Amino acid sequence: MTAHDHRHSLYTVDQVRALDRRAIDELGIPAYELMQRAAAAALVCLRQHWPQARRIAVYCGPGNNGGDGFLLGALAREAGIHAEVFALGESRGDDAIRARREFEHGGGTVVAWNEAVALPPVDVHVDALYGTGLQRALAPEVTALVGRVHATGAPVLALDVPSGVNANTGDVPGEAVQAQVTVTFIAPKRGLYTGLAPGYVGTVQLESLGLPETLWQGARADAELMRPQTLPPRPRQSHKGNNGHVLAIGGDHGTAGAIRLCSEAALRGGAGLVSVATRAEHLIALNSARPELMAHEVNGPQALEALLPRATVLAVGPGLGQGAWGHALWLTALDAQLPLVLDADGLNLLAREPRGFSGPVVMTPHPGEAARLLGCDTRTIAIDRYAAVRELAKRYGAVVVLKGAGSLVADPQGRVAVCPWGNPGMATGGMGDLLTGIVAALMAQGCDAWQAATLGVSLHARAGDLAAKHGGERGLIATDLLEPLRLLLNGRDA
Amino acid sequence: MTEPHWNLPDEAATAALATRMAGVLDGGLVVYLHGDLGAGKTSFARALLGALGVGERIKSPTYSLVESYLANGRSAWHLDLYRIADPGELEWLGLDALSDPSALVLVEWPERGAGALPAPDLVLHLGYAGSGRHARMETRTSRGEAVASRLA
Repeated sequence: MTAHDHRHSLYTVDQVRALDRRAIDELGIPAYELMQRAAAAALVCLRQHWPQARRIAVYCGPGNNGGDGFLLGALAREAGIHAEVFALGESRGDDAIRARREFEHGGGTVVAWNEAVALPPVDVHVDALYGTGLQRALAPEVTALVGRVHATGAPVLALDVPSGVNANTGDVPGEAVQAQVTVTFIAPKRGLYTGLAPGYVGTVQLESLGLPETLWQGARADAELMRPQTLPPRPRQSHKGNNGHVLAIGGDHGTAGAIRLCSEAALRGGAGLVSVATRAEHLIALNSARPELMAHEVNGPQALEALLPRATVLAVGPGLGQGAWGHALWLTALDAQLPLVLDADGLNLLAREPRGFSGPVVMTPHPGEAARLLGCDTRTIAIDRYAAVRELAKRYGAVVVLKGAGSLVADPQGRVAVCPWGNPGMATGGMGDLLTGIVAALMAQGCDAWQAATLGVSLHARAGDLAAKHGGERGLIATDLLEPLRLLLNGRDA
Repeated sequence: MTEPHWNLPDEAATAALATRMAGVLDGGLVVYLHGDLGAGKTSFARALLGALGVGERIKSPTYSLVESYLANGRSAWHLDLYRIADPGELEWLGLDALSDPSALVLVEWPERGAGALPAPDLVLHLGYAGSGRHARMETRTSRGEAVASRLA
């Protein structure tokens, strides 16, 4: 059971079904044996996480997820664990029916669940209600059960996917089971890693059920999970001209903070030089706070044009505003034919005035900006973040970062990478400005748009995790990330 | 010395190899069975036990972890440790009997019972090869070598 490459591949629910079918049809493994292996893997997972558990309750839905649950109940009983099994509805399908009989033949009693049934005191609840097939909200009676399970305060182990979470998209259309651990079978489903799902899955543990490597050969994955990486060490003879020159454009009246955070992140992200094109009133503050920044007063396009020849990458948007000043600078920047990072008002202006790009571009929208860029509402973005980020990348011909829990990066050809790091402490002002600066700095150092976006997102999220580890999530502020960012960028994890 | 190995085009070939092994066994033996799901570990064990005259239905030990049989007057054990989280779980099964030198012991997923199992005489590696399977036999003791040389 070594770590396989395919463990970093993420699959759609349909792709996992195809893998399932290949195991059954081409390798000749009976579907019921896969169910038995899944149940056995779940028991191993249960005992790894809760070695002291003596009493469990298993909630089984009517389908194959419920079948996994019945067999887990049977195995748990054999292993000396007291397992109470509750069924929601009659089992459907040969394997699920056989699994339920197997539990009953072993001496177990299945309790048909209804609202009058009292939940027993248990060490662990097991959610085997619904698997990857569920795409809609849980029915009211199931929602009521989930609420009562949560109210007991005991931890939940979810089989394959927490019920109520869309394993294909990460959307949670209603209530859902909040698991401490999700043991997912055969292959990681892409929906477990983004959107609302990270709030429900807890720790995701993959169990490939001992299936052979050949199963994954030639199987197409939909996305990839980012791995920790950084840039190689610098050559000893490098000078500041080798490391690029970021020009950060923004900071209209009253928004000095955004442009300072962006440009300081570009410095800490390793750019050789960082210039700032901003309003005159911010110069003294910028120069005194961070003398390494070269801050310039820019009152319009002409002043900006004078700065463009020395720049290698433009970071456009933080604090830019959507007024005449911001719009004029935005137009000038987009016409400069330089590599671009577009964020915030740089994106809002683009939504108002769509246009194509001539050079490499990274766009970093949050779901609200993404909705404006696609002309839809944020709920539509949440329903399928994978589709949204792909559509943005294709429509605008850019590498696009869709921010939010489980940030996604897509290129116009449809390649998608998913960020497994980050924490709720990062949901504070200024975090996005930092990301813009980091991505710009990486492009300035020679990364292409895809590398800069994926590496930038991963470094940003990991820096957030490192900062939260030291000081906690609440009260985490953007500048707390700068020092950990620098450590990670230099390959120091501590 | 190259290890004995066999191409097994189908399940019948896996069973035939097990039957041949049954024919050359003359005492106790501990065999570890390695291989991915579906590679033929259970098929091999069932065929071997069947060829040794185990008449009763040979069950899969997925649930019970261990099934015991009487084969040609000797005790035989079939273990499937896939659902073991920790070798310590094996203690309460009373596996001391496995160390009886005249017993035949077949273990699937032996790595999960590391430290709690008798050492193997033979390790059989089963793997996928095209649409069929492939078997490779590793000998660990002189008892195992004797069986392997009679098989080769």
